[in-house]
Amino acid sequence: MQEQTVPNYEDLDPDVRLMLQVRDDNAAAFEELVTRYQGRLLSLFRHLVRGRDQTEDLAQEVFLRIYRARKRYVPGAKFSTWLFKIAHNVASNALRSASRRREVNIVSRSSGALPSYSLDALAQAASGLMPTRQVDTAERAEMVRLAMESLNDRQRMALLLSKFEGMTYADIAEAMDLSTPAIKSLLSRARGNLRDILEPYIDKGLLTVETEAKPDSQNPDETNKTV
Amino acid sequence: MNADNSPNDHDAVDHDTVEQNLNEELVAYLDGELNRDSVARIEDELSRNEEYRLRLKQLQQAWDLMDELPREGLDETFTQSTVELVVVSAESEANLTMVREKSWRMAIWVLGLLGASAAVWGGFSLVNQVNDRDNRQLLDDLPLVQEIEVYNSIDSMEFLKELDASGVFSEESDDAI
Repeated sequence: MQEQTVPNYEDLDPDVRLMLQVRDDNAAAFEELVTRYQGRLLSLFRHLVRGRDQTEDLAQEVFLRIYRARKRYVPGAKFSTWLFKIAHNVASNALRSASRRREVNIVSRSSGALPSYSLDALAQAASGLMPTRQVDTAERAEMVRLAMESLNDRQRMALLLSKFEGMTYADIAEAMDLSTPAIKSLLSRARGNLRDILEPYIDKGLLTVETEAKPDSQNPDETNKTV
Repeated sequence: MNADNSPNDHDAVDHDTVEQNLNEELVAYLDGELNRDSVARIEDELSRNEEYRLRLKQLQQAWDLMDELPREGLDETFTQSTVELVVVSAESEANLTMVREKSWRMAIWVLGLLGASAAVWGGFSLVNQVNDRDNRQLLDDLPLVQEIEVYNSIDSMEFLKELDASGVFSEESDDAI
């Protein structure tokens, strides 16, 4: 009876079908998956670790793991969920190694520690002698990046998967090996922290954003609502 | 737990919990992760509560600012180098498998040879042992064999038994050795 409720990912997800071809040693299918996911993986790692080289190394490590696991692949989730689960493991290992090495150039990413000096300094430099001047795109991006860096690793990972991958809480939970309520709590703290950090700069008019607060109603299917 | 907690401490903890719950509800609402009843409840609260609306707006603003973060595009070089990396990995994987298979075959041969040698040595030892036993019996019976013609000429079995009991044969045997 339970089998009827398990989605058939092979039918639902074209990337699962590609991965099944990779399992059968189809090199073109693998290249297609790399093409489809490289940008998304590189973007994710770029906001999790420092340095372009490490970002690319980690993305390649993910693809390598996928290739090595091809013969054991069984479609038990969306392909993207499986891929980001591997990415999460790879990133966690890299961050753990980095924190062990305690390299002096690695910014402290302890939870809740705000990089107020950096962000303030950047905001001050950006506004210059004209407090009302709005910062340009690059400066805005740098401020948001610094704000993101102040979140802890798990908050950042969950936030990036939610924002840029549009993953549901259930999918993020699967990718990060956490429960759905834990992801709900994690994301709420992450977004609350981000708001706390950025709010002063929004209030000062340094960061502007045109927004209309409304729920994400792209998926109105109520059966998907788990929390 | 500290029994000296002041009411203010409890108030602060309660306030944090309420804040956290409120944030969770609003974020889940923005993410479209609430069921219809919860959505109706939140929207009802939003229509009546200015502070609620402000908090929602701030959360949404911070969320929208994340769009400022740079995204990576398609990079042909990266694709190429990744595929090459995987090809190299696949080749080394295949080589490793071949080396492993060779090692296994070699190990099986060596084990086979060792087994055969052990069988040959065991067989040889066994045959040797059996032969030794026969030879020892012959050696023991040598005095009797040497004098068989004399003993054959004695008709009385009783007399021979008496000789054996008196130890004559064993003395001869000892002399022979």
